[in-house]
Formats: sequence, C-alpha cells, structure tokens
Amino acid sequence: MEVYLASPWIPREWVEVHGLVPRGLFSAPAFGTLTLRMAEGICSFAQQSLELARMHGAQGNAVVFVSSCDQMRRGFDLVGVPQGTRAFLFNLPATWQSGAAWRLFRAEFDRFTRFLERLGGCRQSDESVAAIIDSARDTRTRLRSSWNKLSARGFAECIARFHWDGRAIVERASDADGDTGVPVAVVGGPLTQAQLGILDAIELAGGRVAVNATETGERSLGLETPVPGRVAGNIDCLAQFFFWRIIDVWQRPNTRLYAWLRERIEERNVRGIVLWHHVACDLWRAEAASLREAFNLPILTLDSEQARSDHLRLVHRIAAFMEILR
Amino acid sequence: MKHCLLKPLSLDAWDDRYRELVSSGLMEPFYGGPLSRHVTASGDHRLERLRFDSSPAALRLWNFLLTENERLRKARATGDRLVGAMKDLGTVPVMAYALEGLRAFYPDGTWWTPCLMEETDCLLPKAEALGIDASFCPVRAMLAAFQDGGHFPRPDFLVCSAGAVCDDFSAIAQRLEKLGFPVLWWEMPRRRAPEPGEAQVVLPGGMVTARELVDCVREELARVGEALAELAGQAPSDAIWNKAVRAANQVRGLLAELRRTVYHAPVAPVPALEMLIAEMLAIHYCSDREETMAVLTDILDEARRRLSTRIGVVAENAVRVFWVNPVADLRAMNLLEEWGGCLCGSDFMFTHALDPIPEDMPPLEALARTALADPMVGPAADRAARVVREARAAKAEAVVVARIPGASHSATEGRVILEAVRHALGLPGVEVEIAPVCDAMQPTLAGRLQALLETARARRVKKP
Repeated sequence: MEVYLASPWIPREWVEVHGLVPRGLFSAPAFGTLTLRMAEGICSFAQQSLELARMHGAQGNAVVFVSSCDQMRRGFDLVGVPQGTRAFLFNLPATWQSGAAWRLFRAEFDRFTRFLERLGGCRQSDESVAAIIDSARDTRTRLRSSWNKLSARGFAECIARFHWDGRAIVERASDADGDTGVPVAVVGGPLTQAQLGILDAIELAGGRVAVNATETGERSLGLETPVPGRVAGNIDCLAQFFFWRIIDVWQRPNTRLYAWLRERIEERNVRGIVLWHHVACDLWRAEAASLREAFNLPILTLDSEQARSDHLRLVHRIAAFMEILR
Repeated sequence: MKHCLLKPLSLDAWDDRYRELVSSGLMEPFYGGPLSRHVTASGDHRLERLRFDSSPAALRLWNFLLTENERLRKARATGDRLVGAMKDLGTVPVMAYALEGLRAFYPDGTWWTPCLMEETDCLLPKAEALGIDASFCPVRAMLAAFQDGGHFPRPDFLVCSAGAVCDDFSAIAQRLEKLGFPVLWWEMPRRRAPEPGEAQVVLPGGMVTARELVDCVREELARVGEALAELAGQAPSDAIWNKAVRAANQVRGLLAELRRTVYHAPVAPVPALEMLIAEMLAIHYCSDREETMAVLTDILDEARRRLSTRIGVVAENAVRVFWVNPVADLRAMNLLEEWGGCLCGSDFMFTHALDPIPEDMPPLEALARTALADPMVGPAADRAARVVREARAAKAEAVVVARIPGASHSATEGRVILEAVRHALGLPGVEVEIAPVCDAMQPTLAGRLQALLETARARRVKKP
C-alpha cells in the first residue's frame, strides 16, 4: 500500500520500515496540475494537497497530514473523515523547548506506528530497520552535499525524487554552472515540481540558488544530526532523531529556522533572499519583514498566484531583483 | 398580552438619558460617566454609529469595557504586574487573577480598536508597515499597539498558546517576538477523538479527547503557572489554582444564567450587542474580576426585570438567529436587530470560557480540560455539533457565521458548520464577512442577512 505524506517532517523511513510505500504528496508529479474547486481564503497548496489526497484515497491508498498549519489541519477534517481508517493527522508540536512538546511528539510517533500497523504494516527485523534508517540518512547526507553540484532545478528534482520514491540520483556529471551568478537563498513554503520554473528564472537572470530553503528543498532533508552508530533498535532514540530534524516556520519560536538559514547564508555568501509563499499562507508571508531585519539582505517576495497566472511579470521581477543585487 | 418594545438609543440620546438618570440619583462606579466622553477623550468614533441599550446596567457595561486601558495603567501605577495573555481566550487569565499583584488581559482584544476608532488610530496601516498587511486578520492591530504603546500599557510578561491556533495569530505573535517582545510559548495540541483502546477524557461541553493531550496541556499549564507565580513573587500551589477556578466559575455561572435568561426568552430582553460585550467579559474579566461580577449581576437583574414586565428590545416576530464568531465591526450586531433578527444563541469563539471548570479534580487538570475544549483547537465538526445542539435548544430559525477577514480558520469552518446545521436542523444559514468598519459593505451585508431573515420567516408560514 502507498502512504501519501503531506509534509516532509513525517518520517518516511518509518513507513518504509513497516513494509509500506511512502510517497511525498508534495512531490507528486500531478501536484499543481489539477483544476481546483477553490474557496476564498484557502491556501492553494492545502487545496492541491486535499484534491490529491482525495484522489489517492479513492484508489485505496492512505494519507497522512500534519497539524502544523491551520489550513492543512482543517483540510484534514474535510479529507480525513471520509477516508476513515486510512487517514491520519500527525500532531506535530509547534513548541520544541519543553519536555511536554517532546512527549507529545513521542506519543504521536507511537500513534503513527499503530496507524501503520492498522494499514497492514509490520515492522521489520531490527537489522532491516537499521539498514533502512541508515540508508535514508546516507541518502539525505549525499543530497545535502550536492547543493553546489547541480543546477537549482536539478537539485530540487533530486530532492523531490527522494521524497517520492526514496531514491537519489546525484552521481551524474555536474550540471551546475560553477560559482557564477549572484548567490541567493530561496526561502519559503513548498515549491512543487510545477513551480520549479522560478529556480530557472533566477538562474537565467544571472542568479545562483545557493540555498533552497523551501519546504521541499534542502531544508526538507533535515539537520545533519549527530547520531552515531545505529539508532534503529531504540525507538526513543529514533523518535528523537525524527523530532530534532524538523526546521520550519511554524515552530514557536521559529529560531531554529533562522539559525539554520544564518549558517548557510553566511557560509555561502548569499546576497539576496527570494521569499516564496503560497497565496493565503500566513505563516510565510508574515516572515518577510523579520527575514529582512535578521539578515539585512534585500528581499523579493513571490507568490504562487503570480507564478501561475503571470509568469512573464514574475520573470521580470526576478530579473530586476538580480540587477539590484549585482 | 403584547410585549412593550424598548427602542435602542443613539449616543446623543444616551447623553440626554444620562442627564436624566443623574438628576434622578443614579449611583455610578468610579469609572462611570456619559458614554460620549469616550468619543472626545479616546476617539472611539464608532460609538456615534452604534445603538445602545437604554438601561443603567448597559451604561455600566459600556463604561467598564471602554475604560479598560485606563484601568490597566492605574494598576501598573499601583505596582501590579501586567500579564499579556494571547490566543487561548480564557485559561491563562484564570490563573493570573489568582495571584496577588497580577492583572491579565488579552492584547488580542485590540482587534476591536480599529472598529471603535473607525481606523482613525491608523493601527492597521501601522501593522502593515511592520510587515503584516491587510490579508491578515484585524488582530494585526495588536502589533502596532505594542509598538506605539499608546493603547494598552506594555505587559511585563507575555504568554501565548501555540500549535492548534489560527495561523494569522501565530504569525503575528511570532512577529511581535521578533520586534523585541519576549513570549512564553505553550503547546496547545490539536484536539482529537481518542482511538479505540486509548485512555479518554470528557471535556467541559461534552467532547471527548485522548488522555495524552490533556496530560500535555496540564504539564504546559504548570509551566505557565510557575512563570506567573515567579512574576508575582509567590509559590504556585493547587490551593491557589483552586481558588482561581472557583472565582472563574462564579463569573461563568452568572454568564450562563444571563445567556439562559436572554437567549431562551420569547422576546429578547437584552440586545445582541450588549450580549456580545457581556460574554466577552468571561475571557479576562476586562481586567477586574470583582467588577465583572457586579456588571454582570446588573445586566442579569435588568434582563429578569424586563422579562417579568414583558419588555423586549426586539419585535415579537423577530427571527431567532444563532450567531457564530465575533464581529470585527460591532455595528453588525445592531444591524441584525434593525433588519428584523434577534440573537438567540452564540459561539463567539470562546465557548470554553463560558463552560464551568470542573471543581472535583486537581485544578490544573480541570484547566487543561477546559483549554482543550476551545472550539478553535479541534475539528470544525466538533464546533458544528455544539452549534447544532445549542441552536436546537434555543429554537433558532437561522444561523449566521461571521467570517473574520483574513482569518485562516474562516476559509473552511463556515461551510462545515452551515452544512451541519442544514443537515441536522434543516435551518437556513449564511456566511458573511464583516470588516472592522463595515459601512462600505453594508448593502452587501443587508442583501445577505435580509435574505436569510426573509427565508426564515417564509419557513414559518409553510409550517402546518
């Protein structure tokens, strides 16, 4: 059975460990191509996720949403109930500094495990579990280190591929154009495959995406957590591993996101930030001023509606931004 | 025997009435005075467009509401520490008021300032300059109020629930912290039904949830309690929190009685607008718990007196409307009555602040259960079920869901609630968006609300 995960923070390895097939819903090739029954105020990403979840649910597959944003949480109410036992809402704590937050995550991890078992999943032997976890960790590490070996689109596609089927093909010859171009960070919500043209537009305009910090970019690979040896036999340890790799805008406070960004922005000499958000995504839109203040860099804000309906204008805006940065 | 219809008063008419009352010996609390002074002194120009109940009890209610910032400043001057509670709407203040020397209030309440001041304060454009534009809920006014310090005094301590809360509010509170106002965040997990075999807990209001969620919130409230106690220079204890719960229940008991008296009356004895204000007192007692009790007692006495003397504030054939969500423009509640409706029940987003807090269990457990009963932290279907139950009990003829402009929850919840109402009760319903100053939208609002009221009236005729 395929299990469609609506967020990269749901541990896909854990699904695989149970003999089920994890799929990043946000990496689905069909994402962004559906005709939606839009309602006023609904985030387009949430709406696309709902439609896809309905579609996959109707085919007998399972869907997992997260509670991290109001739109997705409420979207689950619309999709989850009709799907009954094949739908799950993972209650991701927004806070992370207290014992209660960790215990909530830990309890949710157990509940998620029970959900996978109800789907017919069965945890494999400790050795197989260790192999799956280690392999996924290696793949993530390999992907993380390839950020400067591929074009922005190539890198994003590799990550999407990983979230879709767990594979990462980064061994091919470098298609990156060296260190040329103005280094920028693309920060924000999920950038779906249909929206990768934005990355092309940045490169065409003389920019170089030095940090893809969108929810589907490098950030989605999580932190390089120092977990020595095999953690697979210890569920507590594994849950900690999954908990601490979350870096996102909805965390309170969201200082982990800023720390992660700062490290890369400084290390990669980023000179400007492109803030990408879906229409009606309050969590990301509200960060524009804070990002500007925190990094003292020029910011260009782009939204999914511009990307969809007025691509030419969007390209011009990106080109103008790059000109400023040069 | 017909009811006597009591007409609402304009602000000017209230000034005349005020003079009459004073000359006939009206006794007022220290914050009393004519309502029009709030226009001249504070710039609350919206009052000039509102219609008010004519009772001295309503005068006291309005004066109490409109002097809150003054009260907070006085409290600060006398050495009280101010706690800015954010988002949970009704739980943290219960704890804060049990500690001597603390006053809690909701900076969230600033969302009504642009309405009251008819945007002359420019809080919304100022919020935009701070990075939060018009696509966010009007609660963004809070951000500018913090920055300019001209409305409420800056709190000594800020605490905000995070997790299953509106994205707008969460984003704005995070922006606030980045502007240099430290926040203690506490986790409010999304409420869910227990799974088979999982330990469960019944919450106030009758919903059932998983034990582990209550444990999480209880632990978080203990953390909040420790911080509050430290601010007050006291040691937290169950005895203190028990006292807090009992005091909160006194206020909630009064409100429950008021709601029963007004909403179940054949002809409403208190207008919708004053009921909205009265209910709001539950969340943080408008910064004075004892006075809240006195204000509510007055309103309740007035409602009972009117009921017994067959005095109502709406026509006898007014359409009974159950209202969901608070309105950004208070005038909307007047309009409902002017167009032939009356309020027979409400869910102003804080029903958990109206339900009695259990007293037969450890206080933090009781408060955790109460916090988790928040209609905003669970599925919209839970909220809809309560709306259906209460609308049925109140013999509602129609349901209105007020959309809050830009609010993340408003995108989907209205549809869920109205579908449940149609399915379970067969009642007509409508969703209307109400801006902080809704004058420009009044024709649209009139079209939608009047059509709803007409539909409800037509259904009366069709009934055998």
